Amino acid sequence: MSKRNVSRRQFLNYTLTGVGGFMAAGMLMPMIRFAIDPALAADTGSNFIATKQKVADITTEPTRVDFTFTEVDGWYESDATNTAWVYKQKDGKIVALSPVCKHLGCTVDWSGDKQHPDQFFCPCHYGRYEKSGLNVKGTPPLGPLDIFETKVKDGMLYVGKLKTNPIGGA
Amino acid sequence: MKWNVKDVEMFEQARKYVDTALVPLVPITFDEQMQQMILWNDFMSILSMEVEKMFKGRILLTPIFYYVKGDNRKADSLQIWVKELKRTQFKHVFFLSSDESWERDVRILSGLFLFIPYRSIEHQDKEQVHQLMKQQSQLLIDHFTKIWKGEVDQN
Repeated sequence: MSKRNVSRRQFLNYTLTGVGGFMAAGMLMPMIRFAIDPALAADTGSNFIATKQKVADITTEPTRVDFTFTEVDGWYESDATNTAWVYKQKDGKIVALSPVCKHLGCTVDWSGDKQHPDQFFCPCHYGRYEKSGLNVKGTPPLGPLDIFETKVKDGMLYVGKLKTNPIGGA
Repeated sequence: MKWNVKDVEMFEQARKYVDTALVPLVPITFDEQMQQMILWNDFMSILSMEVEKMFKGRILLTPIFYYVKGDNRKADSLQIWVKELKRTQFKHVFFLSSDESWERDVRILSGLFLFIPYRSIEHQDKEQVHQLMKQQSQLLIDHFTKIWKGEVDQN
């Protein structure tokens, strides 16, 4: 058993140091997180990617809009370019659909089937979608095309996260 | 699907839908033409990845089939690949190449040859390259769909 008596001064010293250390760590934590994972710091809602598409030029006819982002594929991290089908609804709302078929991942084409010019068409297994992205019953896909969040800034279109299309009733 | 573990796992459930193999054909040499061959390889790699993205759910993009430039027996080696592909689940085999020397062998091999002339992409930015590759892939859609619909004999 220790016979060391801690004086009041020493006790106060230890306590304050402990608290001080704790406070310092608390202040450093967010900064360390920032240094280690910049993605965390960037996660303040600015996950939108700029496109070269002027919002004023968007019509009611779906057109392809490309955008570039970093993607990880196996061992490689690279810049990838993706595409969205973009158009304006009659009420002016911008719709940006993912071109990836919900069946097995092929790329759908607007007006790709001459017999159904107002639909998206998948050349792989002949899946079709309405302009809204809703899948046509009787064709292979079982759900609607995913939809991108969009934002307008300085008249340019920004594309954000991919979400399930609410039109399917999801 | 690509020739990687993730895609192959994903398609274990959907094997019957993937009935087409896409084989890129790329020449190699180790003499003064080496640099040109490397550029061809880059072009073909990027193009074939773009085509794979377009038809992901129906085609398997095989690893590139390399052969020594000027090899007169290259069709024999390729035919072994074709035999193996057809023995498994692939009804259709498509070849992608910028090398016109394959024209002589087209008749021997039972697959659709798609010649895409090499275009230099060295000095283009990523978006320009993407645009070019998309254009080239679009040209291929018609060929693919015609074969799949059985309208055209693939030989």
